[in-house]
Amino acid sequence: MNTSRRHNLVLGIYPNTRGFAFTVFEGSLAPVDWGVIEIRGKNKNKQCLQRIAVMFGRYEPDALVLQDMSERGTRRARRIRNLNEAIEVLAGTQNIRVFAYSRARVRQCFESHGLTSKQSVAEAIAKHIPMFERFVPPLRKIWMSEDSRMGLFDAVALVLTFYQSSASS
Amino acid sequence: MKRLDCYLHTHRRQWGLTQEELAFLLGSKSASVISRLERREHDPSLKAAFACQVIFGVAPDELFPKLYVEVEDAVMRRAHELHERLQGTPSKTTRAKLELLEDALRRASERAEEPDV
Repeated sequence: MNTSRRHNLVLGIYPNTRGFAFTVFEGSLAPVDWGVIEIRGKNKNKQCLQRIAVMFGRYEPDALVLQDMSERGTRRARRIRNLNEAIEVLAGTQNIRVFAYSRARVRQCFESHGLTSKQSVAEAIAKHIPMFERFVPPLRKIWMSEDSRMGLFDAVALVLTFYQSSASS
Repeated sequence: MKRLDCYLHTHRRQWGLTQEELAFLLGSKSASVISRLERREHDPSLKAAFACQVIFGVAPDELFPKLYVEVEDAVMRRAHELHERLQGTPSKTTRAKLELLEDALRRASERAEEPDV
């Protein structure tokens, strides 16, 4: 794997049931853009891909970080898996290098810092990158569905896993 | 390190400002002005660049690095041309001009060699 110095602009995309969350980093603690995109109506994947294609054009990222949804990776819904694959293909057509990490790999990256839940990871990210502070969702109760803002921290966690992996390789 | 063309979008989002709110602060009537600045479809006026510095506390060359580099390149090309043209004119004024141009050229090359943070 290449070192982070060769990947100046890193885009992390985390697809979820509502659409996708993304973040663009220029260094491990320097996000330049981020967001949670909610797509409604039919052809969610097509609409997501259109938005992502615009993002590729705008940022021309050097690396794209996705969740590893292959058989050895993380199990996700078929539509989301299809979307993830389509994003990878789209990145390939634009010569963007793709890196994928499973949920277990991301957890492993943060577990070494004593962070075992998504909430604690989100809070730790917000502590280190204050501009994400206002996006930390309130603690999720057992009867609540996941807050859409959590997707943003999933995308950031993927990118930070990329930086950690790059630094250690 | 690769840099974005414009960091206005980043700073605006960092503070949670909408395009309408930033347009209001800049004294513009429409949010589309901000959209065009962020996409670099328009270059900022000097007034708008100063206004952004007042709001975010970030110098225009940091907010609009690509524009700064474009301006710098063009000026340096002309400075080099003028420097060549002034050679062989041995007056004190010419020496002062040459000194200024050499300083400007040196600053530009030092800046180009600086590692980005």
